[in-house]
Amino acid sequence: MNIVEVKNLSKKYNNLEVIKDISFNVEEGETLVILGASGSGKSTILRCINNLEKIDKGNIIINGRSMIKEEKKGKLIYNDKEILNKINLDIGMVFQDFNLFPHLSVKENIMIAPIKILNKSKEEAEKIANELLKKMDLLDKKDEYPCSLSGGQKQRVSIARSLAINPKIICMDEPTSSLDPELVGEVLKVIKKLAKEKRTMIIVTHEIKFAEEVADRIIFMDNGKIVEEGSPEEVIKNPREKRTKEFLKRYIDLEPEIVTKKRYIKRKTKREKENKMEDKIDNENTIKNKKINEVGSESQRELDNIEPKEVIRFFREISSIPRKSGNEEKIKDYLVDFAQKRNLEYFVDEYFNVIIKRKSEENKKTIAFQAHTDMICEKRDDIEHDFSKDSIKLIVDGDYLRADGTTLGADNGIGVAQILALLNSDEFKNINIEGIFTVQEETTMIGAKEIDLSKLESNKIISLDGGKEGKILVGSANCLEWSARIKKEYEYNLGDYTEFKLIYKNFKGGHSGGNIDDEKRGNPIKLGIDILKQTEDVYIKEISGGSRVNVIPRDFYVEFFMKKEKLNKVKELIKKQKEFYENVIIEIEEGNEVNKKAFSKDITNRIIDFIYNYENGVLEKVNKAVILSCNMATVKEDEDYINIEYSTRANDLNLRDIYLKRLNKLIEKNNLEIIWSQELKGVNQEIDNELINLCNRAYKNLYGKDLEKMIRQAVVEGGFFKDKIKDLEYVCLGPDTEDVHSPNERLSISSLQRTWKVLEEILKIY
Amino acid sequence: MSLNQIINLGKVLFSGVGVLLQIFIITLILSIPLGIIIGILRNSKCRIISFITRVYILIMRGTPIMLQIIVVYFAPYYLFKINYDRFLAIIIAFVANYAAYFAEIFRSGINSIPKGQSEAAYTLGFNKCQTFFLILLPQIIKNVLPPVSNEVVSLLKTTSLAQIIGISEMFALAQKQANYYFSVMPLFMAGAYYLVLTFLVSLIFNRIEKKLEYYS
Amino acid sequence: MKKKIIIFILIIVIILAGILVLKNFWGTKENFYNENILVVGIDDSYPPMVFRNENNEIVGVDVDIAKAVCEKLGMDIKFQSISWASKEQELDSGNIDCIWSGFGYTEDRAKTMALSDTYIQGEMFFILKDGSEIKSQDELKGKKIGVQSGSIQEADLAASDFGKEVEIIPFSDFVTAFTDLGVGGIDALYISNTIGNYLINSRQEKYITIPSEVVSKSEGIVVGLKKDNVELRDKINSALKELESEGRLKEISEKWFGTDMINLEER
Repeated sequence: MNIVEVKNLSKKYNNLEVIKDISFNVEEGETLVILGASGSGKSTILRCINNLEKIDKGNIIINGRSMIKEEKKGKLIYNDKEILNKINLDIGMVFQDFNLFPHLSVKENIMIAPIKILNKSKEEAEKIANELLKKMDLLDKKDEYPCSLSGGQKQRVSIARSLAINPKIICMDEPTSSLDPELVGEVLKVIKKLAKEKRTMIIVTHEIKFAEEVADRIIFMDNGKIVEEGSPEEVIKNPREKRTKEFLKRYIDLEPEIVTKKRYIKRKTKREKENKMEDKIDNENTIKNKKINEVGSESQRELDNIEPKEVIRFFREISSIPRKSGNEEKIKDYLVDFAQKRNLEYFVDEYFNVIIKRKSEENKKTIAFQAHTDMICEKRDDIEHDFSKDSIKLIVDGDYLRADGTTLGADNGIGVAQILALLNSDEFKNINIEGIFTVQEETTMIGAKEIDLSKLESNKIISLDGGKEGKILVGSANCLEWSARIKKEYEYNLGDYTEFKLIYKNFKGGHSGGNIDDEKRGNPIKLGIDILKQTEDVYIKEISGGSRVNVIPRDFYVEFFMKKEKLNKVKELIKKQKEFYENVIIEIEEGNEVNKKAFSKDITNRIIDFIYNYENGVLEKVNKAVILSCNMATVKEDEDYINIEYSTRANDLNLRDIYLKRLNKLIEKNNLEIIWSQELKGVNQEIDNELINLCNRAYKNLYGKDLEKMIRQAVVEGGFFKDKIKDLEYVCLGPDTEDVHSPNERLSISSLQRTWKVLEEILKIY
Repeated sequence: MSLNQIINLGKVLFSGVGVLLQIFIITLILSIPLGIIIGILRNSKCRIISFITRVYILIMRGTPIMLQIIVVYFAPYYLFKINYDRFLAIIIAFVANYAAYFAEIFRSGINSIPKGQSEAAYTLGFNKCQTFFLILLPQIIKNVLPPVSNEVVSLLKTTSLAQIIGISEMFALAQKQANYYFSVMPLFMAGAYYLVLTFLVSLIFNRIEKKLEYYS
Repeated sequence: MKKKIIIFILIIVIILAGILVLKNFWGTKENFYNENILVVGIDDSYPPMVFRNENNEIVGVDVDIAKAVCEKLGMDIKFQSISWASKEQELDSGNIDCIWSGFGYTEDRAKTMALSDTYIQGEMFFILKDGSEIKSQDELKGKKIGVQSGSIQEADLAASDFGKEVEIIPFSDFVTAFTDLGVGGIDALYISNTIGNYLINSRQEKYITIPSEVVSKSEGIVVGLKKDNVELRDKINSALKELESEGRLKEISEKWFGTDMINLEER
């Protein structure tokens, strides 16, 4: 049954037609989501349905009652008040900016309508309020006033309030767009709950993911018209219209930012602790599922025929095992199982690091190979994939091996597979082979940090992670990471100052080791602070930027106060920055001035001075190779502090120490409190030691040229092994992979074949 | 002046305080609701009503209250040959004048409440009257309290203008006593009375403001 | 519950206020229609003619005379304070029956009102601070002279040649005028001797006086009535005559001025 019928609705504002002859119905129990860019008229429709706006043409029928009585001379006559009141009671409305009654407590906000409108007794109303608040998970807030609630809580109260008169239809107008990203989730959760209860809902939103999850049907509007209508699959996954596609693209592009923000909130400075927590959760979620891929048979057969068959076979087995960073128990079980079956000696530690040894009868020489078992789990938004249980689909795509819209896990699954293939091999019986499998390389490096290598006999380790064909990694940077903070102090009554928001978005970001050498990436935190520094006499109110300490920030957001007349100067500065960086968003807009409260002058100046004087980017280069670089990574606020994370990477420790003296002075000057720091050690070794020469010889034998030696700014696990093994010799070798850490991750099959041969050659000539 | 004289003077002036308070309280009780009504009418969509109230407010704020008192008291005679009680006249004059000031205060108070409040109330099924009294008014009162308290204190002192039409309120008595004693002492004493009254009124308003501070 | 009590109290207060207003209204209404009450408009800050004593009672020369006249006429009397500035309107609108408050005769007034016979003839003089070096009216030129605002003295001074050479400062009451004289804000006070002598006598400080050469339109103190109220005027006139012949007026004058300043003259 259609509970809402919108018929040929048109609406004008001062001759501007915002809704153009729109018709649609909503069935009882259905959740209809109206998507569309701002200005497309989607909110106006809701307001018309709620009779907050008068319509110019057409009719709206709610639960069988018509809003319009008749049409006279082209003018619509609305129905009698009585009927409109009844219609009104059938519809509940949730507003974008909550509109809670500030003078009433949370409970009273919900109780007032039942008491005054439905003539319920106070006791009945209180019962209703308690039930609704329980549902909204807000029972403990019932006697508080709206001003003391967070945005998400306010919106939940507002939903409860609209439910209190038990309307047949609930309309929600952008219920999450006034909320901070981290608060969106709690509201969406509640709305999903309502959808499950089969309440009739009309929701206007631009949260596409949410729309997809909650909607029974989606209407996409553009320019006052319905452009596309259908199930979420139809509209979102396979949009037919160009406008829909453009819209979806724009919003999906923005999504990752929100995700990283959310993730940060969860994360505390002690990363290890956090990861263990995640561990638990992920393990609980894991469903025992060891089925080997059920990929299409053709691709399957193709895969079977690819050389080196053994490596591919192990890689396929690994790919069916969930192994997100911090969730390596399953893969550990697999490795242990592997060793037990072959009667190989193995060691496992509490972190699920695994060492497997294959002893040769002759017991002559030993060599160790290392790879990490975990992988980065990223997927395209349109893909349904649960990394905690689903296998990764392997697809052969020309020379490339890739997954289906997810990360492939060749980083570093292919390394693991190669080691397993070596351990499993019948050849090289004269050499002891040791396999080192570490965990959490992608996140905390705790595996490499904590692994006990005393059982290892070899002092030569070939890492099969992060290689590049034709190159050999012989050195890596020493990386220092800090988190420092400044305690917040506020200042009020900024009388003649005006609030502004400065927004930096869509910067390229990238890894603070690998991508630091690219000027065009830019550091939005530095750029934003540059502007504040040059503007002078500002008060920062809110500041946040960056995502993680080892990533170049992609975004920066600062709310601040300044004298209004400086706006033009700031705009000028922004223009200059925009000219230099491509495809970035830099915006300034006036704030909404809820209150004139900001950090004190002193705090503001300390933040600005520190970040402004922080030497960011590449500081020293030798032969085009970066040997000293710094990254201003994140600025975040918590309740009492402004936290700043930054890092320094250096291959030359003497140079670094000179730099650190400067940095320390800066920290002292601005009175920053360092709360956390860690050193990720680099690999420093003689460039022509036995292992390097061995590898080079093998390569030269096969391809007639030398391996190119490379030093990287990124941290490699070998850095942590240095203290554990005397006279460590450590290199990284491996096949070419593309777009690592992204759903486009691809492994070059031919490159794998060639580098595999190098490994075999190394063992032959060793 | 001797102590006895001062005590006597205090008593005389105190009798004037009674008149002052009568004018003050009656004016307040009548002018605040009238001010709210005019404030609402001022916002009316009907142009004629809004125009009339605008002119009314302009006249009331744009001419001296002294003139208004004289007009209120004497105009009926010149127009209709009617004369009436001067106390009634002073009440009418003060109520008319202060209602205009209160109207502007309440109008800005009404406008300071976000439109979303009425909209939310409407979608919950409240009619206009319920919306105003249950949702808007409590918020308006909080918003307008400071300017209203200003006006109220000013009214307290403006009552002295009642002597224009020969009402012997406290300050008029003080002036007459000053004439009798040939001393400014009675005027100072009147000042002290005003101070005490103003203090009491401010105290009451502070109390109310405190009470309304439970939300922000 | 609390709310209901507050609303209840509010309603009671409003009703009481209404009763008060109405009571005042009805209470005075009888005056308008009761022919036998003489409502006398007074400026009760004009000693010794009309003023309030320390007990806030209305007393003075005119009060005594008016009472005596009413006694003679067999009328009740009610004194109504008015603002001197709007005395004409008060009279016109019938809120008062007469002005009897040291009201001076002028030709202008005679044109718009019915005036009784004059009964006291005052003369004008300047009051200066004791010790002032000014000895004559001429020396006052260029100085500041205080007058009662809206009084005949103000009009006279403004109309005279002498008045053009001095700065005229109007005061609404004599207390401020004398205070100002004391602090040197004005140099002299231009005033009728009827009131002037009384004021000087009742103050502790000493003053000197200089006779005035300014032509005064004041030709004695009268009772002012509505132009068409000739009947009452005649009644008052005859009552005054009777009182004079009985010596009552002289008695009253001596009580307040110390001397007999009565000079009944027909108009």
